[in-house]
Amino acid sequence: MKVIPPEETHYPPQADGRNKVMSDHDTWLAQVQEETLEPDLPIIDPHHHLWHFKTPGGEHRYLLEDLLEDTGSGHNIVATVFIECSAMWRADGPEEMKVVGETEFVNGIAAMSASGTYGDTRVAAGIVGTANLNVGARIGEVLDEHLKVGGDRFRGIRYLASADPSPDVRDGYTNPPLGMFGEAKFREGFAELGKRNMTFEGWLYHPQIPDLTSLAKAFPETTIILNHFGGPLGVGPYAGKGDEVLEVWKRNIADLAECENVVAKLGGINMKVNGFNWHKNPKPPTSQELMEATRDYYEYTIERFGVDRCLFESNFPVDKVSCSYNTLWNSFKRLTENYSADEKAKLYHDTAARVYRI
Amino acid sequence: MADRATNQDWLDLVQEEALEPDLPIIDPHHHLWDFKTERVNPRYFLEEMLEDTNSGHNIVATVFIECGAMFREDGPDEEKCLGETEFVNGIAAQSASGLYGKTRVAAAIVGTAPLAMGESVRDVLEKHIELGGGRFKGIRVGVTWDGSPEVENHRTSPNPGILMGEKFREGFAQLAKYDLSFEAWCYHPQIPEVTDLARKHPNNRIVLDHFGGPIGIGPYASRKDEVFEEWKQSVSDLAECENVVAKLGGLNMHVNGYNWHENPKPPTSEELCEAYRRYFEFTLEKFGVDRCLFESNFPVDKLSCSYVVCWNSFKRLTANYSADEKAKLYHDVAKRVYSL
Repeated sequence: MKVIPPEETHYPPQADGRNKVMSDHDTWLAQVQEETLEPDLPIIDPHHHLWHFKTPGGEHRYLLEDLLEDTGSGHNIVATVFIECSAMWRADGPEEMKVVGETEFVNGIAAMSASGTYGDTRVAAGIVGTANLNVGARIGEVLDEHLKVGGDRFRGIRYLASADPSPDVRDGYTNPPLGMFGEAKFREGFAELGKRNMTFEGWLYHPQIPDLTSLAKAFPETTIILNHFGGPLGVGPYAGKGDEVLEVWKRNIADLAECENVVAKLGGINMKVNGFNWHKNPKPPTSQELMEATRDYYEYTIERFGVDRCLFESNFPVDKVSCSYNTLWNSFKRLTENYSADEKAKLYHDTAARVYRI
Repeated sequence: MADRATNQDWLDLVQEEALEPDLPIIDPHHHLWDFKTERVNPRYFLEEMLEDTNSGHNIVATVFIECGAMFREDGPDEEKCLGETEFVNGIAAQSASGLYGKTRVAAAIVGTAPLAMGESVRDVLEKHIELGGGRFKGIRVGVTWDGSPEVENHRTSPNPGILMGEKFREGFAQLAKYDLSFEAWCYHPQIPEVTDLARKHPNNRIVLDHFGGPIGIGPYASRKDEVFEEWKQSVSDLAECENVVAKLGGLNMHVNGYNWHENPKPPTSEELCEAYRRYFEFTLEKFGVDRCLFESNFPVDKLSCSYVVCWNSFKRLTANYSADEKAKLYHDVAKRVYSL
């Protein structure tokens, strides 16, 4: 039985993008319709998934045409970056190599997109896969295999570190031990990234941010991308403690931002684990509501990292649990309404282009 | 959700149970594509393929053959063909995840490359191999050409005599260095050129597609027996080359002139088997079961029959063959040729 990322198991059955069939969830989302703000602004969406899972609860499908329904819904998405989600791992072969199946699968979709027959958006122009860095230096073989089949698109590794002592918080599907980033074997594997000019995506929860800071200091030559603001928790023991969480998070982020090799993705804060519970409301939030609820996270991160080290991300379809693609990018554009053209170019496009060499 | 074939209602007029449904089959010749509006499956992706391979016969693996799908829009011209390998390897990876059942779709991949560019095609071959995730096994360059305006030439507009060109042969010779096979897709008057190619390059492995394309339209429509006699002579010569194997199938296309698709009902497997029997039996006689392999050529041949009927027609032909002979024709030769 395939391990399903916890984020995904919460996701309702997918619509059918190709045949324009809407799911109940799409009908819920469609209650909020907004004009696209600044529809011409070129955007690279540096964080989304592609998958097809078959679980006892139903099928979860987000393939090229499902993504294109979203990227084609109003904003000017010129390219995207795929982030690993344990899709299409090989059923057979050596255990450590199974992850290469995901890169092959995604590079296939990228090739379809690059044929030009599905529109101008270059889907998965960058690919971030996964590899179990805990095995140490021999993970280099897996990284090399990713590079081979990735068609010049392979850029980096994400290996989930998200874990919390509370049983109410779901750990990442890798079942990471707390303190993994400090383990000698993990760091031995991590060192293989730098040799190949690969990036690392840090996905963890906010109490773990100091671990990432220490990792970043130990490997100043490796670019690390903080995912989803470092996962401020809002469920279990953290529920209802938004102000306390924000204060702890701020201290952690201030330290992390001092590492010049770290960049921060702005987004991915609409998951269930963040505790805003948008999906429980009769109607989804407007872009205004979304931004007001989470503004502190965006503004503080931009203040600390600066626009040269920040990039907006959709985290779709995970964040689709709360809002549509159009509403989400509108919420970012509300935040940056008074930013200069140069600042906007960086946040929506240039930082992603640099980090993922697109 | 799989797309329906445009002629599905018509195909459904003939319903057959799969014969010998347990016999393991490698289908060594099919395509995957999108937007081919001239075909009965304008989209033929993993799920459409699985509808066919799951329809009754025991298809354990398949081999993708190039069809000009998903070529890169940008980049150097000679590398545009790499997009197809990337695309197909992606589908193969989906299949290899086990999520879609036991059939391993595109377990081997045959792409294309501009061999006529000569020795420098090496770089393209190396990239195919790298991108193919261990699945890349050969090159096809379609060379179907005929002087008659009624016979459609290959979509790549090959020059007549392309197989005889010096530059082409220089590129062709590179295949042997990478142990890649060459798929020959030509019309029957061109078979002697394939024979010449095979003789001059005994270290290259060649797979003859679709019986060497006996033409049955235009000026050939009224002289089917003459065509057969000509074809026999050419195939006899070709079969003498030990480095050539022959695919048995792919006669259901428009160019073959049987016009099944114009009938009120599609042919039964019996009708198909009888109509083609002489081509199959002569090829088997000359090449032997160690150098023959059945192929579906889907979805191109879906123009004329369903996947079940197609393989049933082969099984009728081999009804009295030994288990060993059947194993070779339906599975083992393909496994060897494409090193599966």
